[in-house]
Order: sequence, then C-alpha cells, then structure tokens
Amino acid sequence: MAEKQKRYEALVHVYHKELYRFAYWLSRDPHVAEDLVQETFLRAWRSLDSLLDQKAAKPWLLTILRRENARRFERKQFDYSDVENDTLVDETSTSLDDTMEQTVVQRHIAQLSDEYKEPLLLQVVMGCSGEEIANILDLNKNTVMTRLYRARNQLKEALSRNDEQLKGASK
Amino acid sequence: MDELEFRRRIIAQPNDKSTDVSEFAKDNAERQYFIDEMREFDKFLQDEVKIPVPENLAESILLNTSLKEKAQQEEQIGSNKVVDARSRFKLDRVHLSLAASFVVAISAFFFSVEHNKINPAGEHALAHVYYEINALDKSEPISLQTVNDKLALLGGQIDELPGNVTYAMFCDFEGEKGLHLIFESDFGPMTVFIVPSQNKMFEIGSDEFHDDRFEGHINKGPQADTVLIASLGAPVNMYNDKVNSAIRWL
Repeated sequence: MAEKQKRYEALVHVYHKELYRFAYWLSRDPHVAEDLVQETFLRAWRSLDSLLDQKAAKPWLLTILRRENARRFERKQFDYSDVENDTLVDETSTSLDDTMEQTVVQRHIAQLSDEYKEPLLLQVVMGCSGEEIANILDLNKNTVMTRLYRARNQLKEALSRNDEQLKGASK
Repeated sequence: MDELEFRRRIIAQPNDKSTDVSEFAKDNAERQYFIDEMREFDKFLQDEVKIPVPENLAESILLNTSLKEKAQQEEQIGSNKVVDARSRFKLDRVHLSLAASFVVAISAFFFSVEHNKINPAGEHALAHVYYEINALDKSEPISLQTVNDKLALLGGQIDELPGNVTYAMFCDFEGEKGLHLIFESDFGPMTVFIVPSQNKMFEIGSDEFHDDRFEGHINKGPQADTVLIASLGAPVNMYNDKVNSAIRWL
C-alpha cells in the first residue's frame, strides 16, 4: 500500500502541471481543466496496478484525460438535451481570452482546429514524440507529422501577418 | 532526402535528431540556420503555452484522491455488512427476529434524538470548506456568465450575488454533483453549495450548524438545497435569504 502511495505521489508531482496545461488548452476553461486533472488522477489511482511500466505513465495519463474530456461532452449533450439551442451560445470564451490568452500566439493556438491543435499540444505542452502522439491519438505517424507541420505553419503565418499589420500600423 | 522533405520534417519536429536529417544539414550553413530558427520558434511556443497552474494543485489532487477513496471504502464496508447480515439471517430465524427488534430499538433511539443532531449535510459542508480552505483566499472575480454556465447544468440561474464570485467549481457532495461557489461579502468570503434535492442527508437534523470558526445555514428547496457557510458571527440568515432569492430555477 505504501509503495503504491509513493508511486502515485511521484506521478502527481511529475505530471500535474503539464496535464493541467494540456487540459486547459483542450477546454479553455481553468475550472474545467482543474476538474479534468482531478478526475484523471483519481482514475489513475484506482487503476494504478494496471500501469506496469513507469515509462508508459505519460501516454497512460493522457489517454485517461482525453477519455474524461470526451465524457464531459457526452454529459454536456445529455444535460443540455431539454434546453433550447439558442441558450447554448458560448459567451465564456471571450472573457477567458481576456484573462488567460493574452498574447497573439496564444489566441492563435486556441483558434487552431482540434485536429491540428491536439497533436501540437501533445508535442509542445507534453513533450511527446511523433510516435507517442500517433499512439495516443490512434493515427499513423505520417498523419501526425503532416498535422504538426500544418499547425506550426499556420501559427508562423498568423504571426508574420500580425507583424506586418503592426508594422503597417506604425508607419 | 531533398530540400522540401528536410524543411517539412524540421518544421513538424524541430528537435528531430535522426541521422539522415543531421547528415543532410551538415556542412550547410543555410540548413543549419533553418534548424536553429525552427528550434527557437519551438522554444517560443513552449513558453507561450505555459499558462499559470493553480497553487497547491498537487496537494489538492492528493487530498481529493484520499478523501474520495475513503468515502468509497466506507461505502463498500457498508454494503458488505448488509450482504453478511442477509446471509446470516437466512440461516437462523431466531437471530433474525432478535436483529429486527434490535433495529427497531436503535431506530426509536435515533428518532427521539434526531432533532438535536447536527445535520450531516452541514458537517459534510464544513469538511468540504476546510478541504478547500485555500479557495477562500482567492480574490480574482469570476464572471456571472461563467457561474451561470455551470449552474445551468443543474438547471438554475443566478441574477446576482451579494458580492463578487471568486470560486466556482463542480463538486461531489456525498455522491451528488453540486456547485461550490465562494463570493466576497462585507463579512469576508462566504461559501455556497448548491446541490440538487435528491440527497436524503439534507432532511436530517437542524438547519443551522457551526463549529469554532464557521457557521452555516441549510436551505431546503424543491429543486435544490443550498448551504451557506460564513465566518462565525456573520449575519448568515440575511445572506441566506439574499442568495436563495437570487437563484432562479428553469
């Protein structure tokens, strides 16, 4: 029991920050991100015995977190099923943009489509290799590399457009 | 490898250390420069995604896990006892009748003292406040829209609260999904738990409770029960009325 507790504490200390950030960028809500990370680690504790290789901890935790995030949407759909659609306008994003996503590039990351955003976040936030990303997202490695290439290219282009606008404005 | 493939690979994975890539860039200043440039961009992105992480998150995760685990164990122990008891009853009818009269005696005893008991919902609410005691120090306001987005999942809406909301999280209130809010009042931070009315423990005992630091009031409603907790000495009843009249149910 003490051994399990020690392993668990080590996992929490090593991965909680990265997972929180990953959860934040997925949900773009600091409260949801915290809920997701709490739930992920609780589930990790309950099935810690199934994690045989400590080196596989990161992809294992990410898989749990992504599943939790998907559940959130299932629940949301269920909870909202009786509500008129027009009450579902997402008005929180703008207010969150103001507090959390203050730089141009942060806003651009947030605006990337999910298929590009998720591989990029796995790479930049979680430090995953192309192969690890392919395993976690259940894609082949070439697809992952193409998406990473496009995600980074989109960000670079958006940033240089922004630079030009700034230069134009200062003329 | 050609120039195009080299660039695609370095853009996609700036820290690609494969031998074919390094071989291709070796002795070529322009390609080396491109690698450096992409690595710099990568570093820049890594810094940009580092949004602030809540203080004490690791401790809060460990505490949450141990509390939930304990609750689950207690639940299991409870259900095991029932199973054990049932199988014994089958074996022995004399014991069954003895046990039945014992249960009647115990229930009669609890029934007679029930009105003096601390409400278990109050006790749970206090434990919850202590468990997330750091949340009371938060001062950054959360928009009412964010609060309402969460409350909408429980079927409610708040027009206004008597102070800025600084904390809004879903919580597990003894197995029931509830909303945990903290707002700033003139008498310090106050906590509100909003829990859909399916939780039987709200029905037991007095509506008021306190310990040596906090006091609280339970408001039983048709759609949800609310618990307000404030520092000892604050006008809890006044705030309780304000909070409950501010919540509307859809």
